[in-house]
This record gives sequence, structure tokens and C-alpha cells, in this order.
Amino acid sequence: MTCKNKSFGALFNSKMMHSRLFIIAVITVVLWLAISSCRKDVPVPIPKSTHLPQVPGYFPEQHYDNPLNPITIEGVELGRKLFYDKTLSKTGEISCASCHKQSAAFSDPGKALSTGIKGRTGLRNSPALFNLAWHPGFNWDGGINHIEVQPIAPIQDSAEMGEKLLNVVLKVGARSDYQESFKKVFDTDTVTDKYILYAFAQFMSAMISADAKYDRVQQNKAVFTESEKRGLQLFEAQCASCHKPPLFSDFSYRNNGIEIQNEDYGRYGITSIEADKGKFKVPSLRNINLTPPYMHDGRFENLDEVLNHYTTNERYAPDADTDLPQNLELSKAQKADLKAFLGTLTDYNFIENPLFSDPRQ
Amino acid sequence: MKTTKHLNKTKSTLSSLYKGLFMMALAFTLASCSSDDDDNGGTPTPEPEAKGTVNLNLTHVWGPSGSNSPELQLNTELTHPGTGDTLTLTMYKYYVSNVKLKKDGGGEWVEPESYRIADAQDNALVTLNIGDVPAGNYTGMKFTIGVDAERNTSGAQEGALSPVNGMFWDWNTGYIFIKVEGESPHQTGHSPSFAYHIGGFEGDNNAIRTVDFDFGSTMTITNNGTSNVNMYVNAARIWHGGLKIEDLGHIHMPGARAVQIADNFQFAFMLDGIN
Repeated sequence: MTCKNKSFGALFNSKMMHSRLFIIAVITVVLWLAISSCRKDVPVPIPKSTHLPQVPGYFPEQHYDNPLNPITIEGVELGRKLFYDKTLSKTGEISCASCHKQSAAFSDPGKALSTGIKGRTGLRNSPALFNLAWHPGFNWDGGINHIEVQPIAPIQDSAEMGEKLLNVVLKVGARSDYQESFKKVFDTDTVTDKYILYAFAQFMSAMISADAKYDRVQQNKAVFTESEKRGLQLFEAQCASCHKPPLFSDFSYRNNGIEIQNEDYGRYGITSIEADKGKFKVPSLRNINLTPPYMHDGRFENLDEVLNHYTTNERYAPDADTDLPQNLELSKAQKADLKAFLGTLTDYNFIENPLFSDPRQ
Repeated sequence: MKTTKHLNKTKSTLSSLYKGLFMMALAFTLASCSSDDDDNGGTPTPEPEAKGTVNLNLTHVWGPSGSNSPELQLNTELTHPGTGDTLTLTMYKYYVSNVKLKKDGGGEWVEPESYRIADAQDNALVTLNIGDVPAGNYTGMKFTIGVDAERNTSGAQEGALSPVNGMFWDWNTGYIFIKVEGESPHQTGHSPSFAYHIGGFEGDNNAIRTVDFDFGSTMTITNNGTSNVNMYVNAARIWHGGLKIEDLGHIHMPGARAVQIADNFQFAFMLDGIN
């Protein structure tokens, strides 16, 4: 930390030299130095009220809280730059944002399976990204246990960005613009994988979506229509036990009764526990209108197909979760109500927030 | 700091009263710094202490036992002493973590941030330097093969624990404790290559193992001195108990086979002596 007190030297040459004031001044300055020199070289977190989205009081405690990686506006912007940087992929074809588009709440709209480098596709639908700081596990199977190590998977997956983390460190570390940013945010002269992952974690945890109509109703700033109210009642009775408000997921892994396809057994692939076959992470329903197609492999093109699944019991595969709606029949009007309520979960400010947008535009 | 010059010039003109007050303020400076460090979980200002180094010398061998077997050679055809399987190893590395030294008279010295990768790639002898060991008498040692559960669940790590070392599963978070790869004509499938990536830190799949042994005599660490703990690591021990290459196939995630190999490998370590 550099000493910014330019009047310090001048003080000593002044006429105060032999006065009591001088003694006080010396002690004050030394104490000031003592306090300031002891401060760790961490960036000062910016107040929540300025740039970073507010977390509503009715949200639970965040899962991610690393005191070694305090969230700053500069850190978030650095993470954003990495998120939109195609050079992170092996071929330079894609960035994280290629499959996580802000206009679609950071999902890949209309694509069951996204396209990685060299036209490759993986097994699962690109999930929407928001409120990630509350997630205890990542990916559809929950294989990743910490937000900081999540980006390594898409970076290194041969069907996604196909690049070694070490090469990302070398590419990013060789660029002076990044060197400056990492110096500023983390006070480091060397760009390391840890700080790259820290920057990603800052950006990812700042992606808070909590400004939908639903939220404004919670804050008494808006009211539901009659149809939305009826939809809310249906939702609370049939859906809310898994898609638990206010995050609209309980972040558990469940078998929702869709057939296993492509030998993708979900959570079982991580735990090898027989009972986990066919289980996938319960997705949040926030911004659901923006994120078709649906399910872990994008097999349902629209919400009507999803509602049909939950209202047609014979479609449930064996071992389906017992919390699923049983013998649920919904009229056309009821389906319309439910969809009206789900529409209140769209956060238009989130998808337009410049803090998350492409920094080059 | 630009102001130092002024400070020195002025200090000589200060009366003893000022000097006294100044020293008090300086003392406060130091005191407040050390307490701040403590609060942040950092290293407190170190007391001058006599410290030495312990070299943990791991000589990798291949054979029926640790002491009388030839040194391990990678990229050379080997025959397993138990199963008779022929194989060629191309990679043999593992984490040595959480080193502890048993103090003569009780208690342990625990090395902070104790994570290393022992890699037999270039040399059968792998020396791990354990520095800053407080001077004193020690009677034994403990270390972990693998990485403790805490560091498997704490996000981005650095140094030996950085994911760029290739000892980390990105899709199923956790460290690969032991990474053994090679080729064998006994391997079934379309390729003769095999890979055992051994890890797992939870429940029944916990593959973290501790090697715990006594020296049989006392090792004295002197200030700036170096002592040696010499061990044999019998690489063949992976397949102990009749484990055949064709039965193991590939291991790429935690599970029963990984646990079995971790159980085997912990007994690969045998003390040769100290000096």
C-alpha cells in the first residue's frame, strides 16, 4: 500500500515543531499509518446499494461466502470480461456467453443442446444462470460442489470450450489488459487459475435475479392479476415443494418421471448410488419464460409440453419422485392461470442490466 | 516510502519526550499489526525459533517387498510379482499431505499448508522437503495419501492443489489422490491402456489414507540442519491381493475399486531408516 499523505513531510518542517500540537500530529499520523498499514490489500467491497443488485430481505442466506474473495464492482467486471472472452476456448470460437445469453437469463434459447467448439454437442441443456450464490451444487447432476471450481468444467469439456485450464491461465496472463485488471482487483502480479476462478465467482455470484413482478408483489410495489393469483394457488399446491420460493428451487436432485435417454442417469453418474438413477437438479423457475426448451436435455419445447408431462401420470417413469403431482388434472383455463403466474417470474431488469452485458458492446 | 527521509532527519531533533511518545506510537504500530494478523487467521509475527528441514526421501521400487526390490522404472515392461501380469507404467504420482512429526515426549508438529505431489515420472527417488521444522527430538511421522475433505470442498486452491496439475476432477469435484496410468496386454477392451485415478472423500467412498510410523529411534532436528527420512514405496502394491489388470479396467471416479486400491497403496510405504 502506498502512502498517500503528502502533507506528512511538510508537517515536520512547520512551526508546530515544538508545540503540543506537533506531538498530537505525530501520534495521529503514526497511528493513521499503523491502522492503514495493517489493512490487508483487499479491494474495498462496494456498497450493495450502488451497482450490485440488491438481495431482497426474503431471500435466504447465500451459500457462497468466501471472505478471501470479497465481491467488488471491479472484480465483477473482470469476471464479466472473462465470461464474454472467446479466447478462453481452445479454438477461439466460443465464450461462456455463447451458450449463456443474457437475453435468455443466460440460457441458450431454443437449443436443446448447445454447440461447443468445432460444432460439437454435449448431453445436456445449457442451464440458465442467476442466483448462483445460493446453489450448493452445480451442473444438472450436482457434480460440482463449489461455485469457484464450476467454470473449470465447461472450459475443459471437449464438447464445450475444450481448453485446458492451464492454457487459459497462460492466455489470460499474457495480456496486459488482464494483468492490469488482476493487479487492481487481487493485487497480484501474476495471473493464476485461482484468481481467474475468483473473478468468475464474483461475476457469477453478482448475477442476482430478484426484480421480477413476483418480487415487486412481495415488496408491495405491484399486485397480481386475478389470473396470476389463481395460478399462484395452483403453483403452491402442486409445484412449490420442489420449486421452492423465493428461489423457486430447493436445489435437491429428483427424478421427475421423464424417461432416461442416451444412458444419461444424472446424479447416479456422480454418486454411483442406485437410488440416484434418473435424478437431476431441480431447476429454478425464475425467468422460466425465457429459457425454453426444458428439462435436463431440453426435450420439451415449451411450457405446455411440461405441464402435459405433470398432468399425464402414465408418462411418469418408474422411480419417479413421490412429491410429483399425482393424478393432477388441469383445465385449459387453469393451465393459462399457472402460466400467467410463471410469467411473473421474468426479471426484465436482470436481462438488461449492463453489469452483466457484453463489455464490448 | 518517500517520507522516510524526512522522518529520519526530524527524529534527531526530537526531544527525549517526543522520542518516548514516538516509540510508544511505533510500539502500537507493531502491536496492532500482529493482532490484526491473528484476527485474519494469518501467520503471527514469528518468534526467532530454531528450525531445520526434514527430507522425506521416497524411493519407488517394484517387486515382492519394499527393501530388496529394484527401483521402479516407468516406460519399461514390468511383471507383477503377485499376479504375474505384465504391464508398462507411464505415470505414477500421488498426493502426500498433512505431514506431522511426532514429538519425543508427546504431541505432534503439524506442517501448515502441507500438500505435495510425489511424481515418480523422472526419477525413482522423490524427495519432499519439509522445511521450518522446529528444532527438537522426534520419534515418528504421519502423512496422508490424498487430500483432506476440507480442501475437496473449499473451491479454488493454489500450489500443489491447483487444478492445473491434472490431479483434479472438474466434472465431479475432488482431487485425484493417486494417478497411475500405463498399458498392459491383459487390459480388456479396444485399447491396452489403463488408468487408475483414485480419489473420493465422502462416506463409503473415502479413499483418504494415512501412513503412520515410528522411526524406531530419535531424530534430532537442529537449527538449519537437515535430517532424512528414507522410505521405500513399492509401486506393485497397487495390485496387491490378486488384483488383476483385466478386472480393474479403468477407474475414473470414487467408488469401491478406488477404495480397494487406496487400501492397498497405504501399505506400499516402508521405512528404510533415518539419518
